Amino acid sequence: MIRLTLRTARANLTRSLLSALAVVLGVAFVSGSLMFTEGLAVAMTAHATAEYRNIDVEVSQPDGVSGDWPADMLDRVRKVDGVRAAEKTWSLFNLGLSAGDGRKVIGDHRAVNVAADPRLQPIEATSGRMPGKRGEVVLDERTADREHLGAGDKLLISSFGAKSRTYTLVGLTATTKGGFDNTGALIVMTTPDMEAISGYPSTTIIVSAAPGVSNDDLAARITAAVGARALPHDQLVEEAKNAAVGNAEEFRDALLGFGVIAVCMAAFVIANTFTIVLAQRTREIALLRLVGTTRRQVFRSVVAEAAVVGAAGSVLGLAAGVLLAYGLPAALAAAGAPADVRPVISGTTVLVALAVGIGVTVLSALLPARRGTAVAPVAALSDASVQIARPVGRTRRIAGTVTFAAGLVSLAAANRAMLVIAGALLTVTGFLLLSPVLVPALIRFLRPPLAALGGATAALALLNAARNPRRIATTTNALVVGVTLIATFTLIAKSTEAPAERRAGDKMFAQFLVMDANGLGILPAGVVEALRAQPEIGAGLHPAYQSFDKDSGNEVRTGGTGGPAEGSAVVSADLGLAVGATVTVQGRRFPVSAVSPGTRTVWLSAGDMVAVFGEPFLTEIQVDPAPGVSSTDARAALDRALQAYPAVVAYDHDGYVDHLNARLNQALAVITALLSLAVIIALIGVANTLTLSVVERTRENALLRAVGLTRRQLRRTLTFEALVIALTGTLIGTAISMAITLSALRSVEAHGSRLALVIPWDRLTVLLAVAVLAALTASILPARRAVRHPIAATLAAD
Amino acid sequence: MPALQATDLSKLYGSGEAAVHALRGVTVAFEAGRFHAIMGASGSGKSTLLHCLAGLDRPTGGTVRISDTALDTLNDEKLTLLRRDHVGFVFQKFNLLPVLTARENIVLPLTIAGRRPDPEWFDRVVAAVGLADRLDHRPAELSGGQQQRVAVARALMTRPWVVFADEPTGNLDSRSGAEVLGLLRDAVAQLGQTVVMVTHDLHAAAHCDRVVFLQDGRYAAELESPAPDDIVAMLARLDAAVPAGR
Repeated sequence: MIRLTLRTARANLTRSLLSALAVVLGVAFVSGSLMFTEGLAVAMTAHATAEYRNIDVEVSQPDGVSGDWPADMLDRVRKVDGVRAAEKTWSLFNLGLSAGDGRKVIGDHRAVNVAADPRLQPIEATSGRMPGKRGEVVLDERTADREHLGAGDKLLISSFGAKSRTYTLVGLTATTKGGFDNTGALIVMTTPDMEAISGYPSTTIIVSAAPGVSNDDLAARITAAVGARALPHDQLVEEAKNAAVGNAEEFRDALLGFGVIAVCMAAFVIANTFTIVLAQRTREIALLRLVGTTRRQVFRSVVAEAAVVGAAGSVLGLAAGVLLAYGLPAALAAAGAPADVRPVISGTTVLVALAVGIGVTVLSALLPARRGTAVAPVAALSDASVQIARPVGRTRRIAGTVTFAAGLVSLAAANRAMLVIAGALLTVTGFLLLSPVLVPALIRFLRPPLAALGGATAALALLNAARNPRRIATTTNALVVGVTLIATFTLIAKSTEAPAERRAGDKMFAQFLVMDANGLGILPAGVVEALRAQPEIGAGLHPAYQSFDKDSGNEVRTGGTGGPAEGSAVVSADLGLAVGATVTVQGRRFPVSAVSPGTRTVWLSAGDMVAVFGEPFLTEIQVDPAPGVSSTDARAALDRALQAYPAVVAYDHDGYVDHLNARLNQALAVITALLSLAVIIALIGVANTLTLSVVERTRENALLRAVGLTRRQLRRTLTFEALVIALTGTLIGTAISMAITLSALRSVEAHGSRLALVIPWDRLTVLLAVAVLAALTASILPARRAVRHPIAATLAAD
Repeated sequence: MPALQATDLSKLYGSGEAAVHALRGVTVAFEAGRFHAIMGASGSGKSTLLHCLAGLDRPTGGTVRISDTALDTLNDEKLTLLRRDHVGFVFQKFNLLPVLTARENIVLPLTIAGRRPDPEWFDRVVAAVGLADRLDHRPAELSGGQQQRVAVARALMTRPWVVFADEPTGNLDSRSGAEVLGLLRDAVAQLGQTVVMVTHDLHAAAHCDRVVFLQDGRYAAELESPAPDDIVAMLARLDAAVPAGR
């Protein structure tokens, strides 16, 4: 029986290939993700380990304790017996960086300091030298390469809220910023420089042990002497490794989520393939039964065949996964992310890949195998050339209708995210159950107009597509799920993007908006003066301040265009003050000129803010050019004024909208890319169904050719059939996703903000074009096979 | 001029040692308005001859003319159009598309061509084959004999130059078989059709005006309006004359 199974699998190799391709893609994605993330964990671990080079003990505040860090802590640590050297360290984020000529380097930069003692430096210079005196810095090689910076160049560096200082680049290091999102620069400076710009005392001290003193001993001694937490080198590395592996695992789990979707799609395709193939083999199976094979034996043989296909697919998938895992770092590097990831191919990954591939194939084949092997031996004797489709059961119809209706009602009534998700799941499930009824009905409905449009070939294609309701349903189902996922993400993203436009409009009353590049909402106070010095824009500044009135506990802000006049205040309604009353801020009294919605807030004019608080936080500045100054000249003036502030950027309206959308677009692109795998597998399912249908209809096609269908017409018929299947799935998926999106947007609306459905026609068109192209591609091979069959031989064959 | 003419037709399958000569230089003509049968033992080449005559298969050598058109001068596209417009077919089975109704099957060649059927002719053909009340049924809902009558109606629908029938009664019981033969006979007698039929059924051949016998890929003999006994005798004679080594 095993031999027969293997022979059957080999004989049906071409048929199995397409279903195997679905397995290959699913396994490739899963194993590729595993290999990449394991490599990522290794790289991150290595980075974490390197961070503690030359550090024997690190002294820090115990977790959860803040303040109470004695100013003389460093001296106390240095006095501990066995300490050779010790140094305070900082790790500062959100720095501004630009080249000496004012060219800004955008990114989330990090600065660290190093001791003058080389044996206490965790970082080493790979070219040039480490910073030796104030004003010298070292930069990571990657940033230096990208920005064409080298030793001797001047750099402007600012910490947030401060003006920049000029530094000289004296060397480069191979060490990078670290972490997973390491797109910023790593800046290494001397301890005195760091002390000057950090603005807060260090609460971390690194220690180098004297010869002959073990790290563990020293750590214990320091803890005893100074009462702070002191950890020896090995434990530091261990903790950092754990954190790194944890991060890599989080990323892996997110990737695997998409892998699960892809594998589910593959399961659809495999189940459909086995259903069709077994139906075509009815006679063969009946013959086996006729000569005395038990049903159980036939069933086992089919399951074994599935295992063979699954195993072959898994092996190929693993190979593809290796390519994927090596390709991913390259692709990420092109996008500016870490490139130092070398994929790891572990035994676990291989086992998981095989288990997923074989498991999914066998599981998806079980039900078709049970049905397909339930063949009466007598069927071998009858003419079973025309497959009769099993009708859709009553239970399925009823369950489908109820689920679908419940889903739609839930979507229509949803006012919470949970209801939207439940509604979406119910609607999709209901549709999947009902599709053997709905899809053929839709196609029948479309037949007359399309036949009128496309002629006999179109009409025939539609009939062929819908002739087996279950088959077209399963084929479109996979596509519907994939397209629904992609389209829902796209629609929701694009619909929530529109408010970015509105948010920009609401916020910006002047032509330009000046804010900090890192989104912290704090600008150096000096920016106002720098802008005021420019005649083109100096008179049109609208700075926004924010502060806190300690006496009353109220927030105090500047109002926008509708803000209060000098000497008066607007208050939030919950302060219980009426117009005409007075409100006290920092001991000064202001008459209330208006009441606004809000929470414990007082709005003052910018001038009053400065007068009252002296140095309130400057959050942003809106700028209007002086009358008669062109926006180009104004822009130039802005850039000139902001040159000394690397972390400060100026946007016009469109630039600000782009800025708001940039992150969203990037996330959308990544999710779309990951989900498109699911759609690709579903489209393979279309090709699969078409191929198998063509095999089944070899004789019919020969007959059509005999009575006068030209090769071109036959090809067109098959192409049209593929188009019908692909478009039906895509359009239904899009329709469902619109329902889900509308519901999701409405549920948000119930919480106050208003969102309209925005249909991104460009993206939907691309989606549709991909489906059409894929359908055309999917029909090429089956059509070629169909037209190549010699008419006479096919008709004469029994 | 004959409606159909084969000249020195040969057909070779495969090559080298495995080559099989299905036809070895057959020259035969079929006059218009008559009912022709082609007979011969299994492997005599009768089906191959029919396929070559009908333009379903290309001969290795020789020419076929239908009316005044030489088939070897046509490319696949033109050949297909010739079949569509001027040739009718009735096969042993798989004559009909399962997704189309009887009516749609009958007008299929016209539909493919994008032409409307002539309603008068349609009614006449449908009446002749006796299917007026079955037109909206699908093949699965028709008996074997009814399906074959639909096939005959389809073959006649385009008023073709020639109707080819390949064992049209092979899958039918004797009564249904007789009905189908009667229909083909009527097509010749009443509509002036030319019919060429391959058969190994004596009774089927006995309906014909002329029977051409093939043996071992060659033209062997022919009989005019033979009785079943004549055919038996001829087949016996040909069988006895099998060349040595076969």
